[in-house]
Amino acid sequence: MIDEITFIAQLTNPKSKEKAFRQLITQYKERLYWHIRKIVISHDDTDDVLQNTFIKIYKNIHKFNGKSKLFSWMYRIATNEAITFINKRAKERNVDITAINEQLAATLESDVYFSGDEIQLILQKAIATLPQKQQLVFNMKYFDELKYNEISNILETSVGALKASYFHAVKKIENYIKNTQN
Amino acid sequence: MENEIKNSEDYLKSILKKETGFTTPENYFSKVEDNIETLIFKEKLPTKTGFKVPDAYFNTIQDTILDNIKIEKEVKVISLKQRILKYSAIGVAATIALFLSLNFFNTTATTADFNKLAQTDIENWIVENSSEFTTEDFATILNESILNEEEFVFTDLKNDAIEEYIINTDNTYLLNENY
Repeated sequence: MIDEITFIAQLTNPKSKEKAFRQLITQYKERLYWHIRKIVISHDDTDDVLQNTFIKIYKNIHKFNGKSKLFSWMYRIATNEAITFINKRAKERNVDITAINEQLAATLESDVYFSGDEIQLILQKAIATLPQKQQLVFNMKYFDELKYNEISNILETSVGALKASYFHAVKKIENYIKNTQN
Repeated sequence: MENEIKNSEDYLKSILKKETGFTTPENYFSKVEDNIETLIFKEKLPTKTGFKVPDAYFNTIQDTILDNIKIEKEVKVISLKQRILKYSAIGVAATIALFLSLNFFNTTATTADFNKLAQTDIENWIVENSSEFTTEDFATILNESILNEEEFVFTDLKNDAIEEYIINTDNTYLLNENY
């Protein structure tokens, strides 16, 4: 794998842009997909958001200033696209964000692209009850195993605030699961 | 706080195994590049058609339409009923014309001569068209020329002939007093 600076140069050069962009998609499609999927829940919506994310990256690659990792920059775009999608969906249904998340989690039982067992279903319903920031931090830390400083770069939030968010998220989920199982 | 998070995390990991349960359609990830490239290609397509309209077209279109509506109103409207009657009349006229022309062209020119008519033709014509004669018509003709009561000789009629006539003819109406 070539170094990131060279790769970005290829992405911004009109002659090599198309080929380099295809490589970029191949390299990050799955990570970004799963990141988005945990936010928007359904596969079809994730597919739409993933495509929008890559189109936005393609159009704005020349604006990437290199201050953060390319991966962090792309993660941030994907996160923003996913949150924008959820907010739009909540507005359409005239409900708040938590309510729309709970509605989406409730669809999992009949979702053909959800093969989780009972405890995984409960976990998704538990995550849906969290405030948006806590959801993001929990998913990125617990499932994606990102480091706090990486999450900090992506969400542009201090590490201390992230730790607090994660702590609250884990406690709430633990309580939710214990209460559901009792 | 760190220990508390660790304990809670350990608890979740023990029951959840860090799996979300989400799946994707088969071969989904192998098509992502192509799908996104198609979308990007689509993004590059021109968003404008290139069509133009004459200057001030949309400012004048309203007046043009309204003017056309006025003209339409002024044109005489022929109802469907009138139209059917009109064509029916034309159809009847055409049929008559065809009938006459066929008769005209299919017959040789002859002058009508009453003397050339056979007696049986005249009788047949009278029988076929008897419904067109009223009782008064017959009465007038009979009075004027044909019937001369004095010439009527009932004795000439044979009894056998009278009986045969009565037997073979439906004459029940003769028994009705109202006749």
